[in-house]
Amino acid sequence: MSLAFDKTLPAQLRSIASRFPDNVALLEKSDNVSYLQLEELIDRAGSYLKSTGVTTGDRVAIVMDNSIDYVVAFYAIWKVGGIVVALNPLSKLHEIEKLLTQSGASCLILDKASLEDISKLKALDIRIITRTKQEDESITCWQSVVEHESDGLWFDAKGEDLAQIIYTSGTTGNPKGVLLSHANLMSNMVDIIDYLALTENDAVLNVLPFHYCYGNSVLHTHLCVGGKVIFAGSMAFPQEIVNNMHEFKATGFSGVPSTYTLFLTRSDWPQNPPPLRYVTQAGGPMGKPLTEKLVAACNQNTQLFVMYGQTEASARLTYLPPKMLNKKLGSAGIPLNNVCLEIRDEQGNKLPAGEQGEVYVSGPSIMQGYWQNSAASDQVLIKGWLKTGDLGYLDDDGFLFLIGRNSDMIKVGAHRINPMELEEVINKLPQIQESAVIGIEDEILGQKLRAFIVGEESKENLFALKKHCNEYLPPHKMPREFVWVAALPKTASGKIKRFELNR
Amino acid sequence: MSQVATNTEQLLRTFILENYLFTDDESKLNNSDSFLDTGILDSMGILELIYFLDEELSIKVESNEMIPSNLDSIDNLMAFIAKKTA
Repeated sequence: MSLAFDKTLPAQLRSIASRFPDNVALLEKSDNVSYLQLEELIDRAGSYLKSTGVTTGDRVAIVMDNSIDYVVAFYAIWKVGGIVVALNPLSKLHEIEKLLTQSGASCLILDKASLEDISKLKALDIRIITRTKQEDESITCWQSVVEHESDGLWFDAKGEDLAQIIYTSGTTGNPKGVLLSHANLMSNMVDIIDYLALTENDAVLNVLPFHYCYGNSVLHTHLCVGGKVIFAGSMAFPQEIVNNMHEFKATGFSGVPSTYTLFLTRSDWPQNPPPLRYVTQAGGPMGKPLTEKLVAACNQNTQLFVMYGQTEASARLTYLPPKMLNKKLGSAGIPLNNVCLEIRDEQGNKLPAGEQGEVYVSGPSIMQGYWQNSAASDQVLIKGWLKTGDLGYLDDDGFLFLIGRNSDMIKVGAHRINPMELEEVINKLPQIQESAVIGIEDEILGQKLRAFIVGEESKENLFALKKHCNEYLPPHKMPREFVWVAALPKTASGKIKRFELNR
Repeated sequence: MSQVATNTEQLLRTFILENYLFTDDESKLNNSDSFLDTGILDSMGILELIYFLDEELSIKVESNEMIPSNLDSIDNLMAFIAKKTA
């Protein structure tokens, strides 16, 4: 059944709630909400936010694991015309404090917080809402938010209104807030819905964190069509996820390459493939051998969509039509309907098919810029085009082949990590002179982190170093290996030669 | 508990304490603590735990055994190991 789309995601959600009120929208363990119930919960939560003074253009931060409450909070912010700032719940408090300050958030909705954390957050002069009840009466409990009287008034957002800030690892170690408008998001979701042919009969089993653009797109595309989003457990237990695909009759699943390595090596997927209609892969290139193994292990009716994108483009830029998978194995595919893509040389000149250069993209899904960082925005937004930093070429048929990135970013599983951010943390420890972090090949995660340390090698220092990293870095940014070296290889200008460390 | 089981439990506790909690303070880890719920281990940590079981204790974890009731706490691990070595 074809759907006409509204101009914004919150408007689309309301249309869907009216059209499919009893469809299950979200399923979290034994808890589920229909579209009608979801709309009501959003109405209540949004009315509460409005009663506290949250208004158009205000930034409201969410620091929550994937949950029904996350989705309610997200759309409640849009109901009052606010801008969603969803942050990684694995982040350490100092990172969250930094991003709250940087985004100028006036309100924070979080899962839980210790008393110590609450007292630090309160110093930021920000309204705090937690899912767990706090003894501190100035902290609002989420339960009272969703029980607030609804006003039924929804902000009529325009396409150009700002909708969301998604933070990504910056090239200098400071995260950058990708600023997306409602039109940016809607354009990209419509394109994704089109090539995945999503309908109200689809049910996606989701393991991706919603605060990243990939998970964000999985959530909103399915809500746009009246489909079901099923919250799966942790990828720490891949067999459970596969069991859930069977049990809940999921039609779709989205993952990064390491997700599929785990399924193929740590679950019975190859012997008992789940009856999925589609499987999507993004979040870094998937090698040809893994792609071939995954295709061979999939049910005959399961289509594999290899995809490529960037947060700066709302999420998705290209996809490889499943029927072309064998013929164009290794390709990231063709641009989405609303995306124009060119390969350019260092001077910005368009290159012909077959020649390698940098990927440039344009279209309605391209971000408005980086939040309060015009210098960084100007570096990548050039005359209506986004300079992606990714290197590749187009073949004669217009299929994109990526060959690498024009930066030192490391991809660990689904996480994009800037080594400089880690080095800054490590170098704060007095007994460490300096450090360099690189990504090395990992069978499961694609890459894992190895830190080269200049300092006195001892068990005590290693212990102190690990403890220090654990204090300041979330688990996915923890180096898995520490190597003590006498000195780091450097260029004449003092820049670390990372490629030499990679040998 | 047999001496072998006591030694195994201590080996597991030391592995978790030293590699994920970065301490030798035994009070920081309760045997019933869920590794995932408490944030002690993430999915990478669970994989490292599986390698540790294989390499140090010769316990091979099959795909269908990778479930929280076998691996998500010291208590669960001890029950799982007892079952595997019975």
